[in-house]
Amino acid sequence: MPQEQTTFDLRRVRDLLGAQAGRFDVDHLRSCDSTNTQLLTRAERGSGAGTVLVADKQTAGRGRRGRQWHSAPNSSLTFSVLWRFTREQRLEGLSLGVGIAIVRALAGFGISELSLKWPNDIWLRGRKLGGVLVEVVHGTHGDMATVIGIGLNLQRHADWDETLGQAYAALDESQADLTREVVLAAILRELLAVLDVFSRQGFAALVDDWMRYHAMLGSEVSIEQSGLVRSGRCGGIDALGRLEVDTDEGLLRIFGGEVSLRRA
Amino acid sequence: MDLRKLKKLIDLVQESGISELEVTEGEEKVRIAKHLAAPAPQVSYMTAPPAPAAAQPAAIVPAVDAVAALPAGHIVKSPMVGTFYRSASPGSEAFVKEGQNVSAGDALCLIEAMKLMNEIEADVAGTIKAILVENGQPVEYGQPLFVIG
Repeated sequence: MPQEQTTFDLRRVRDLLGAQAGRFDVDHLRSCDSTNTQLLTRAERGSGAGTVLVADKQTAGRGRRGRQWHSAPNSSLTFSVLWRFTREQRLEGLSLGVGIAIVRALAGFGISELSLKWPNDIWLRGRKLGGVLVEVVHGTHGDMATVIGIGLNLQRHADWDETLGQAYAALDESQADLTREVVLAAILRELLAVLDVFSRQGFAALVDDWMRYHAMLGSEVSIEQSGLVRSGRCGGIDALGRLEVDTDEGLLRIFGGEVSLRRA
Repeated sequence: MDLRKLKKLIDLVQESGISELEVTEGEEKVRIAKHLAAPAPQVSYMTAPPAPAAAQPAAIVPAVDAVAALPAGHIVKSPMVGTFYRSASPGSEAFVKEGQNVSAGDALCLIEAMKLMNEIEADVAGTIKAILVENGQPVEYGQPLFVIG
């Protein structure tokens, strides 16, 4: 059995962050239930904005509403970032903004064929490369603590090929030499820029950037909400990040449910 | 506008013959309408009117509908557009039930929009007098969710 290499070089991340290193406090765990759960606890104990937790392995990684998130050491980068906003901040669209930061960071490595599948899946060549889950707790200090969880596939993994087939993508399909440290630092730098705009101007100021990577614009899509399936043509997003879909019933603005491309 | 003042206005409308009252104070505007609100049709889930740009936190408190049906107490409102969930995940127990005592900081519900899960906590201690939204229903920004008395 080859030894699983699970070291993570925090010093390297700090070096790569350069001038922004002071804005983050990055910590690493070999294994935890979920980095989001851990950071939510730390947030309640008063950890500051910019606290970052990276884990080699999550034993209970979560997707939306209790769904499982698959990860394996070295094959994926899983981390969470704690950020604090004022109580007055409108949070709609935050998860889409995070998607912009990830795509910008990866595009910086020369990776093309990246897109965003509403609301915030990261696609490489039309397959899922990563996901985002944002959780919010209202702190007792008059602010809102948000925990931004990000999972990204770095390498294709034999086990996943078995269970997920070709339905996912990994960065090594495009760039084989990207380490977790390099990818993490790049995403954190872009995240800082996006969060800055989001705090000051709200998601409205990020809509155009998101639209640039909109995977489904103009496509025929199915929308599944509480067991009900509708179909229509996918439009853009509004200032709150809601997806606009043109259907027989008129223009719908969607903030929940599952939207998928209709296969011909 | 503070809640005491809002409560006074609601009482005023309730006790009077008027069906609707609109008050503007600085940048804040409150409209109180006296009628029993029909449950939000599913269509409004998706055809909700465009909300104000996120850059300008809405200073307008949405109409307080069905005031007559609300027990007295502190109203917890939705901080965002989204889907209202009474439990952390499907099948798990509800955060709170009517009649239950809560402390400030206790989780009351989850609002989800676009993979952002917002846990709403009680901002005051008291008893849950009313739960105003059904599990899985869409809510608007500022919509009353709970009454804590």
